[in-house]
Parts: sequence; structure tokens; C-alpha cells
Amino acid sequence: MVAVLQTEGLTKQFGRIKAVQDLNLEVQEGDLYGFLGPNGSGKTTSMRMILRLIRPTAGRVLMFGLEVGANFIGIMQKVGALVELPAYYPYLSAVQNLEILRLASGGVAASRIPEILEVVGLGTRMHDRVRAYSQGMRQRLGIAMALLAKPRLVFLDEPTNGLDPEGINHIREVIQELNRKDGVTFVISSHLLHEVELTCNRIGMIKQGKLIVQDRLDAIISRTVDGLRIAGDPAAKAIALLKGRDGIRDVREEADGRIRVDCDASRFAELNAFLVGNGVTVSELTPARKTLEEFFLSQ
Amino acid sequence: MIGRVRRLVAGEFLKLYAQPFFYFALVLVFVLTLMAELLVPIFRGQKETLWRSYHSLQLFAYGFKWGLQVATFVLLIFSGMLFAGEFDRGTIKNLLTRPITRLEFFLAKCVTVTTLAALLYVFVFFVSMTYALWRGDLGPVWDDTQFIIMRSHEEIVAHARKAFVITFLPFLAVGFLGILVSNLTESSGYAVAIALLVFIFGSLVSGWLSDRTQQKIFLYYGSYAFDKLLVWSEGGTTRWNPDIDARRLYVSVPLLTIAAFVPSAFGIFRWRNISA
Repeated sequence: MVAVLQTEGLTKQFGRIKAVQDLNLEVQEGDLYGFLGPNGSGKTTSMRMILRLIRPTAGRVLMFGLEVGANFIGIMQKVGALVELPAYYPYLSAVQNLEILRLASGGVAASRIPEILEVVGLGTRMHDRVRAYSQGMRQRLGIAMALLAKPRLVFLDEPTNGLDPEGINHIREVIQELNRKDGVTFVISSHLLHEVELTCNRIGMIKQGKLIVQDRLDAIISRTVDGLRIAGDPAAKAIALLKGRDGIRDVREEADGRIRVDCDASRFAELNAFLVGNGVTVSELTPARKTLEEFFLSQ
Repeated sequence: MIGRVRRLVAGEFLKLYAQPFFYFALVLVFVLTLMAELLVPIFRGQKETLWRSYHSLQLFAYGFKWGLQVATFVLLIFSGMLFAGEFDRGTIKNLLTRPITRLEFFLAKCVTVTTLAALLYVFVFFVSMTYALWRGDLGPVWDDTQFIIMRSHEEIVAHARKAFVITFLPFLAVGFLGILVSNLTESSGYAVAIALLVFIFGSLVSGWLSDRTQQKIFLYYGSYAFDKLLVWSEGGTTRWNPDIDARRLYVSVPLLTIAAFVPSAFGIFRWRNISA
């Protein structure tokens, strides 16, 4: 796999505040990369540094294997971005707004404008002034701006901001289809963990400017397993048996009568055999997972 | 690079033409230019006689001088908004994440200001000249008591030509003042306000300075050129300042001003973090 985006020791300091510290991101071609973190964690600052909107204090950025600073024009021909809130000229229509960006991009056919506006669901309102658009429509226009030049790598900063559930679903489908059909790589920054979980296949988590986790989503999910949920009969006997057992951090009965056991995944089979061997009927045994949010907060 | 700058300029004019204020500004320039040609002769107590009607180039001088004053404000407002407006709306980040460099973006803005200045200049010229030719007469200026030619047609036209040439570069320098101020703040409202204040304050203060000092300020040359033309078109004589002529100060002063404004503005823009 080719890394389409790599940051090496990317750091940004504003006075005494280190907004981003030693950030080492790696995004592979075809990834749907979720860049997660709470508000103020440094996601947007990182994106701005990657796109050379702000100068890093230290570190470097490579896209498509090339240093961005020295190959800016060539690289940016393959990149699209929506950074923070969508920005537009309110007195122009969506078509005119995109025309300005088409001219700036170069090499984009005029027919691409109605095409991309259809894709994001603005086809019927494309000639209206953006001033009259709702928040959700403006967000869609921002996404159209990022996708206008058929980029190979797209940065979307909080792309579902202001969208209703239907809109969120539509944009998710657009992203996944472009990724699947055309192999477009997406870097999606968000503080909405659930949204990223539904859209992305690889995740980087940033907290207080530091990258704390970077892995495939399925690998992260497997790390969120922190115990077992058991339906055992008799439950009281099962709890008593498990409480004295080595490697078990906690045992408690949940509201639905199931037993929650905090232990490593490596102990699951052994515990099942132990309970059955001691006369407990185990009718259900499922891994208990933290939500991505709980996992993030525990880091 | 030239292709990218050209495309960016096309985008700039797309934005400009879509702004209702642009047309309002043109109407304002048009009306005030005509009003100057209509009203200034009346306020100055000039009356037409059977033997002497208004001289076209005199009317032109009134119209062009006043029209250009208004056009200067228009140019200052638009150039003041050029960068600050992009920061204000956040559209700067859309543009700078395209395959263009900051230098190209900056050059496109400079070309836009130069083109807009030229368009406004030509617009004021045509409005003032069209009315002047329709309303007044060309030819020599007559003394209506002794019926002798005071100033020949060729003399006045030569001065009109000279006044026209002298005025453009100082007018253009105003546009670059706007570009500089536009890079000092991220609010287009503040940028325009600062640019107008600097311009008005500069014009007022420079009026108190000695002639020699005033000649070092680009603001001096607009009034200077058309005041001279007025004297000639009214039948009087006045010498062009030989110092200004010999050293072509009306070229070097505004050009040096532009040369100071451009790198300063680009320096600020080049090193600025885009957090809009």
C-alpha cells in the first residue's frame, strides 16, 4: 500500500501553547481515515498545517510520497479540502461559487459543476444565491467544493456539521461510494465518534495535540473488548465462582440478570469451561465492548 | 504561472461583476462626474454668451477631476476588500487549497486592482469627455470683450493630454494602498475604514505641507494636473512645475509608492497563517 499522506513530527506551538505535538499520521491509499478528537484537540490545526494554510513549528508533510512544500502545485491538483466551516460568496449562486474554484483549480471541465452539485443533492437549487441556503445546504456546497476537481485525496473537517439525519446518511453514502468506485482516499476529521465509526475503516485519535491511537477500525474495536457478558444459571453461583478467580478484575450482575465480567479476551474460553465444569448452565456468552467514546476517554 | 494568474483574475472579475455595489458605485461615479460638469461652472459664475460657450476641455477638467475623486474612493473600497474580504468570509482557505501559490494569488489581486483602476479611469474619461463634447465647444478660448484668441486649441489639447497621463499612476497607487491595508486586518469593514481614513487624512495633511514636500506624495498629482488644465482651458496660463517635468516625478513618485506597498503587502500575506 502507498501512503498518500504522511506527517513526520508535525508540531504547532502558539506562544506557550502546544496545539499539536509530534504528530505522525499515516494514511494509506483508499483509506477512509477518521481523524478523531474532542473540540480543541488540534484536528483543524493539523489539517491546516497539512494543507499549508498555517506554518508548522516543526515537522514535515508528505503527500503521494512527495514533500508538500516543494511540490505544492502538483500535489494540490490531486487534493480537495473542506476546512472547518464551509466558506462561500453569499451573493453568488452555488454554480458561480464553484466556477471561481474551477478557474482556480484549472483543468476541470465546466460540466463538472452541475454534476457535483447533483451528487451532493443541490441540483435543484444550483442557481440560487448561497445567501438563501440553509445550514445543511451550505455544508453540502462545502463538500461539493472539496470534490469539484475529482481529487484523489479529500480532507473533510466535520463534514456532517449542520446536516439532518437524512443529509448525514446521504453524505456518508457519497463518501463511501467515491471511495469504493473511484478509490478516493478520505481524511475525515470529526468529534462525532459514532459517525466516524460508521464511515471510516482507519482511525487516528488525537487528544490535547497528541496522537494517542492510530490503527484500523476493526483492530481498535477488538481492543475495545474488555470483558464478557454471561447468561448463566444459577447466576448467584456463577458470580461466586468467578469472584475468586485469577485474572478477573470485576464481576457484577447487570439489570437484565446477565453477569458482567471484566477480564482479558484471552480468558473467555477458559472461563466458559470453568463455569460449565462447575455445574453452571451457560446459555449466552458474548464479548462486552466499550463504545468508541468510552475507549477514547479511557486513553 | 501566467495561466493560473489569468484564471484567478477571471474569477476575481466574476466576483466583482456579481456585486450589486459595483454597479451602484459606477452609477455614483457617473452621476457625480456629470454633476460636476453641470454644476461647477454655475457655482463659479461662468455664463455662456453668444460668442463664448463653455469650453469642452474645461468641462472635461471639472468632470474628470471630480469623477476621479469619487472613483478613487470606489477603487479604495474595492481594493481594501480584496484580501480582507476573503479572510472575512473564509474563502481564502478554499482558494489557497487549490493548485496555486500565494504569489500567484497575490499577483492576481494586483492585476485585478490595476485592471479595475484602468476601467474606472477610462469610464470617468468617457463620461466626462462625452458630456463635455456634447455640451461645450472645442477650439480656441476667446476673450469675449476683445474677441481675440487667448489660448489655441492645440495648446489646451496638449495640456489635457498631459493632465490625463499624469493622473493615472497616482490613481493606481491608491489601489495598491488599498491592497496593503487589506492585508493588515482580516475584517473587510475595518480594512475599508482604515484605507479611507489613511487616504483622507493623508490628503488633508499633505495639503498643509510645502509644495516641494507635497511633490513627494502621490496624492498630490491628481489635483495638480487638473488644476493646471483648468487654468489653460479658461484662457489663463500657468507653467507646469519644471521640477516635476524634468524628473518626471508624476511617474517616479507613484511608482516608488507602489514599489513600497507591493512587497510590504506580499510580505504580510506570504507569512500569514490562514486561520479564517
